[in-house]
Amino acid sequence: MTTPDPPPGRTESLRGPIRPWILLTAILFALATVLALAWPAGGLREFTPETPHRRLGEPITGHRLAMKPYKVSFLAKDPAPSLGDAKPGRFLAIELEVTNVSHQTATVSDLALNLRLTVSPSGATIDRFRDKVAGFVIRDGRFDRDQLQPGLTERVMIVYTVPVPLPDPTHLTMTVIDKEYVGGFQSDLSEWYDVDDPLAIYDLDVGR
Amino acid sequence: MKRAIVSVLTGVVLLAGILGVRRADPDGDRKYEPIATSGVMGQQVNTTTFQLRVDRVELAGSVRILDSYGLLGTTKTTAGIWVVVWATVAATTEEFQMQGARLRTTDGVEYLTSTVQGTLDKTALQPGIPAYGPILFEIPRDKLAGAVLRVTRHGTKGGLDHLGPAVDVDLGLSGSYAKSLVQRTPALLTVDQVREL
Repeated sequence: MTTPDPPPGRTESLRGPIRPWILLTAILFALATVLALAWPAGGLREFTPETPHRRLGEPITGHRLAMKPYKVSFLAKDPAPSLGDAKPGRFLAIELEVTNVSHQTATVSDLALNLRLTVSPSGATIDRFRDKVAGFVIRDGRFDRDQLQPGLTERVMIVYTVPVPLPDPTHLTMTVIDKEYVGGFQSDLSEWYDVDDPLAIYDLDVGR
Repeated sequence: MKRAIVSVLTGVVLLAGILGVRRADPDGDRKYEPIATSGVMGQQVNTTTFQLRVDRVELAGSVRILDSYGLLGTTKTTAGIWVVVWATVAATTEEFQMQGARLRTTDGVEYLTSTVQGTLDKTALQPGIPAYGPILFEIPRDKLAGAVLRVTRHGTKGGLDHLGPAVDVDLGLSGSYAKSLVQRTPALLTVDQVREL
């Protein structure tokens, strides 16, 4: 059994040269697609991410939290002893005014996870997991509350231990990472994911 | 030429159809959200896992919990107001703890129950033994009107309650009633302990 030959006229039209209008339409479509994608993203200008620098008392607002650090202290005594037992060591305490601007309850731990700390003069990084000893809402003279309810502004303290080999810190660089409530890569269920570019970098003097 | 125009038009119609179907498709959060049973104050609402009845709502500027030994806990203040929801809950088939109690306001914001200990949502309930007690929330003073209590088993949004049972209870807080409640808010409320019934 053999395949019947196609009609001669149809073979010619399929294998013939590309017609000019098809070529023109394809080129215009490609150009329009590039422009439609590039224009909303800022055109064809070179992209240079610029993270704003802030100082003590200057506010920033992200997708989840708005904050304003108002005091950074180096302490030789544990400022928030849990169950009455003060831990030995040297401590760095950051005090901030924080407002949850999202639609869900957050915690001081959520805030602490999104701070990257570098102290001077050593230039060392304070580990946000290993070196954090406490994080709480400053209220009622206790250290056991860490919820940040939407729309309620709270004063918050986060305490870190300064690792033994480091000199006493005099300056703190605090990079704030923002979070966005969006569907993830593997699942379209929404979760809080880090935004790529930092929200702000705080240059802060450490008081005594 | 006529065939080309028909082809382009067909493509445009198909593309519009695809976009329309994509827009009509609910997102993952809506597809897998808990299956809620609705109720009102004073009505018992039944799910496969638990039964809930909201009995009353109180407001306070600060609260203190009276524990099972009759001792008063420390006073807890708030930047907003405390909303104390008194409810009766029973587990149906297995141990149940109402960790996912939230107050949902009319703007879609959800306030998770407070971490204050000794409340109904911190109590592990055994099947067939109902308990009556308070659930505490902190919200801004101007957000009370229209608030709804939503209860699920878990406190996190990480997927543990997907397609699971939930209860939505309309607390009957109309605009004028909520305003009058806020105006009459006591500065301090002593909150009684959870009682097994």
